[in-house]
Amino acid sequence: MLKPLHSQNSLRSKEDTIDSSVELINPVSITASVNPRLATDNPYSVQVINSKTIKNMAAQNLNEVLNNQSSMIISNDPSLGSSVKLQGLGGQNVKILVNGIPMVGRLNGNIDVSQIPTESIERIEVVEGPMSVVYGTDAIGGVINIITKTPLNNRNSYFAKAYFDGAKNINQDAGIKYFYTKNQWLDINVGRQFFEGFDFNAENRMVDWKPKIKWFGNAGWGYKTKKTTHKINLNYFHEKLTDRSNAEFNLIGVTGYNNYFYTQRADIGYIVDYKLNPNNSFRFQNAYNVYHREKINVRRNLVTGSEVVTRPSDQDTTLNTLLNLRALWENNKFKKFVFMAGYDIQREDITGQRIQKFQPILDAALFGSLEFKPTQKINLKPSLRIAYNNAFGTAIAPAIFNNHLKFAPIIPSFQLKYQISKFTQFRASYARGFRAPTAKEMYFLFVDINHNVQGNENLQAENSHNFIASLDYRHTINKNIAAQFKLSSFYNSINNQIQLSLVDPNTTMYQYINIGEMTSSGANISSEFFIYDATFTWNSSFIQNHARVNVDGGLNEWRVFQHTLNIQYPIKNYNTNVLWFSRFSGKTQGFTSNGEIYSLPSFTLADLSFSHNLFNKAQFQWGAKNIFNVNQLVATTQTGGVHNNSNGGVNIGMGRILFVQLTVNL
Amino acid sequence: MLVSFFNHLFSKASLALLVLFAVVFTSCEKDEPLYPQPKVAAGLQTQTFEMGETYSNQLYFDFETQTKTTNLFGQWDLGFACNGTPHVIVCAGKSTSYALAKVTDTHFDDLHSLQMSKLNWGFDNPNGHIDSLVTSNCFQPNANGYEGNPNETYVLDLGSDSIVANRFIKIKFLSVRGGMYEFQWTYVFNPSKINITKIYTNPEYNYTYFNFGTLKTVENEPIKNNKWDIVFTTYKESIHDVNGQPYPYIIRGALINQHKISVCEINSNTSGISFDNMTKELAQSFSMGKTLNEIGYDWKVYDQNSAKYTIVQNKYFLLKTESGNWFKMRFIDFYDDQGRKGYPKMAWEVLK
Repeated sequence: MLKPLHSQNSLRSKEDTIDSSVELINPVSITASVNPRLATDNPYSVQVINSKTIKNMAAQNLNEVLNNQSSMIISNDPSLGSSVKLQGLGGQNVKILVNGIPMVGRLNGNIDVSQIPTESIERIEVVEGPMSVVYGTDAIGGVINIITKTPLNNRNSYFAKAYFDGAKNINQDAGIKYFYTKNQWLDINVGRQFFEGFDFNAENRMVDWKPKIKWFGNAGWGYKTKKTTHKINLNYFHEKLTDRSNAEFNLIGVTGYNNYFYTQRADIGYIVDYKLNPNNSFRFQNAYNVYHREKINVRRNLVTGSEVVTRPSDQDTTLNTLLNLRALWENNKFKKFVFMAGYDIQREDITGQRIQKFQPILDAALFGSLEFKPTQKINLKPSLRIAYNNAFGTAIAPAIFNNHLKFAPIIPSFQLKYQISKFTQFRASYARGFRAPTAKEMYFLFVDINHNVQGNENLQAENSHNFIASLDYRHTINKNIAAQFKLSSFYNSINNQIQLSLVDPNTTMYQYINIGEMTSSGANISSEFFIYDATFTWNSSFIQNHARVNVDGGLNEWRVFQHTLNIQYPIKNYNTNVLWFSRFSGKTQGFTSNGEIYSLPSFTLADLSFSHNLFNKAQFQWGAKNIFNVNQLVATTQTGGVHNNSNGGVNIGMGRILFVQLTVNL
Repeated sequence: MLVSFFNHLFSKASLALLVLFAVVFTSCEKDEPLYPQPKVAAGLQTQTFEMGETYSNQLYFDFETQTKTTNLFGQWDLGFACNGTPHVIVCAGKSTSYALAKVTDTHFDDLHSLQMSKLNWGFDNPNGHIDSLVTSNCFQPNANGYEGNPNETYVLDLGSDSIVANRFIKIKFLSVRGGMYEFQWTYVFNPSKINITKIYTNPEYNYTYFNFGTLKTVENEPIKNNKWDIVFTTYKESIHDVNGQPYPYIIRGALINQHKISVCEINSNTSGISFDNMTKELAQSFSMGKTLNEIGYDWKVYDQNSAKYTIVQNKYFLLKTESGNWFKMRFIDFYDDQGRKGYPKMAWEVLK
């Protein structure tokens, strides 16, 4: 069943028909390259989560997928959504891409990964460590690149999916992929995810997991010729989140406050893949992303249901747009060299009630890499990025350009792959990373009777040094058995870390400042076994951070262990798969916005489900999520206090829930 | 092309899928169930006091006539008692640094700017007891009335936001005769002229107020002292930090008119009597007091999670007027309909 590994050229021609088993042990990725590459060919490690795994998880959004990865730390905030950390670095240091195009719209520095539905995802490629050479700012911790599905050649298809679970999630998706000529297609998906909210204490009006209604849709058009593929994608996402306060009873009435958060994302992208000849390939990506979030605070008369919008300073609106023009050229004419070069032009605008100054961030960069294969066993890949930025860097002729022409630091990286044996590979890399201050960090202003939070125009960019080393062992024993082991470690040192800190206790003034250095380091051991159609995966990771958490303090240390065990076991006679996904998270530590370190006790999340294939046209899944019934944990601080949400704990899960999902494909 | 696409879109299979999709499309946002209207006791009255988000207003209220009178807070510096034992109060709630110091070891003429940082600055305890004032015992009785203590000089710090040259004022109280206070004063940084000021009090009011900015008396109490029971205003309390150390804190609350009412705070949990069940017969068993800040500010607490003030639900008050009427009163809100803080609302009922 398992086939020999494809060569790169044969892979390109068979991109759509890669055997799924080979994909498991040696998946393809396209992050930071023009042509898809096998994992064994890449000089850097890429973790690939394919659509089959996502489907088996019955995951409804990206948050649920990433929750089963040991190398990531996922946090849930009742109002801000779900955030992800890579290599112990989160927030602004993790870049999330859709087909190589950055997403915008960060809350508290994070992209809410629960706002990314899974239905149109073909695979998720995770590259840990800085990818700043190719993707610029925000990629210090790593990159999560979501690759969406492309219709298979000349095959019209429909799908519809319905999902229901005991936490009152009711989701529907439907889509059509239609080839109206041999080489042109339309791809339309629509979906809705309804969550009524989930509460651990029904006596309170405040809900622990906030009710959400999401609408989303995308329309794609594609046109393929012998040398060129054109794709236009339109995506739209709308979410309404309702956040209720507790009821206040008095002698004459009952009142409460509601926050309504309306989030909209709209993206348009035009991607052209052009193969000039067998040795020269181009990819052009032009995209415009819009993110709009509105907060409406109302005081509600809970007896009559009437609502009055409260004072203007309790409302907020943010508009964030990103224009991204980028191109990549890859040349592999010479047997020992693969040359890649590209440009990356970005303009990001952010406006909002609490942004005091409208200042677009312009960034234009040239980047390139030269992959050199001196022998069959060695790949060396130095890379470089040179960027112009209007907000940070070294000013060029400030008297003439009035500080508007700045060169960002040159960003280098170097990657090495060494084929130790037929089955074993060693990789090592060094990379510089950088993160430019965001418009919010520079121009935020929220000062009223209760708040004094200010941006800082004088912020310096964060920059980092990253070292990664890994050892891979992949062995296909026979057509039914294969195994993979990987041992990796990393070290990040970040300078000029930007953090919101209390800078003046007398006026309770919080300001974004370059607080100092931070390091993160860790190790990961993973193993995968493919035995007939069964898959067993075990991962363990250890992550340690040292960081300054307040202006006057020294470096603080915290660490976390995580383990995952995933099993997919088919029962062929019954057309059924038994699926087990679990993650153990050891005692987790972090710090609050006022610089206090807190810790969460350990917990295990596990899902057990059964998937039945019905007439090769449908899939029925049922099972239990979070079977160990984890719900809220109490976070303790070093001073003995507790850091909770208003209802008494930090949200981890909604307890044990049963789910059913029916997917029909025609 | 489009015809072909729509033919495809509406083929039997796709229609079946759409029907499936629509059938399960039944989830929708439910309206929040309405809460039942709390049972309103007969005779229950409510009143909102519009202090404003910046607490710029103070409001006087009379329970028996249900009249409310408003004026601006902080228009005075010194208040001179119009009745009883002569004493002087300061408007310490104007700012954190606004304070008064009593100096007993240095003569009025010898007090100068270099000594300002060494003074023992303080403010009046808002319990209303004369012994708790910074100026306690500043007057001694004699044959003609009261004489100021010759060994005491007071220095008033008008606060860090005042003009530097006029910030510190040294004061010597001279006498009180026939309801007239007399004191001498000058600016510490500009002592060229010694001023003698006379304050004529009116016994129909609690205090006569003087402003060092305008050098005039101010009508801080807009109505006579038999026409109001409580005032919502800004004042200063001594709050203890986590180490038990006191520090001055500006707060907003209600002070009583000691001339007209007495008050008792009731905790419904410890007393076992809820606000609804409190009767006049039960009320008469409680000990009433005239502490100025008996109602005070701590009927509300600041909730760090919601960043809002919430009302303490188990706290209410009994009030007894000089004319013998009993009231029960509690607070029900600190925000107006737009969610602006500084709009305390109370409910009360006459106990018959």
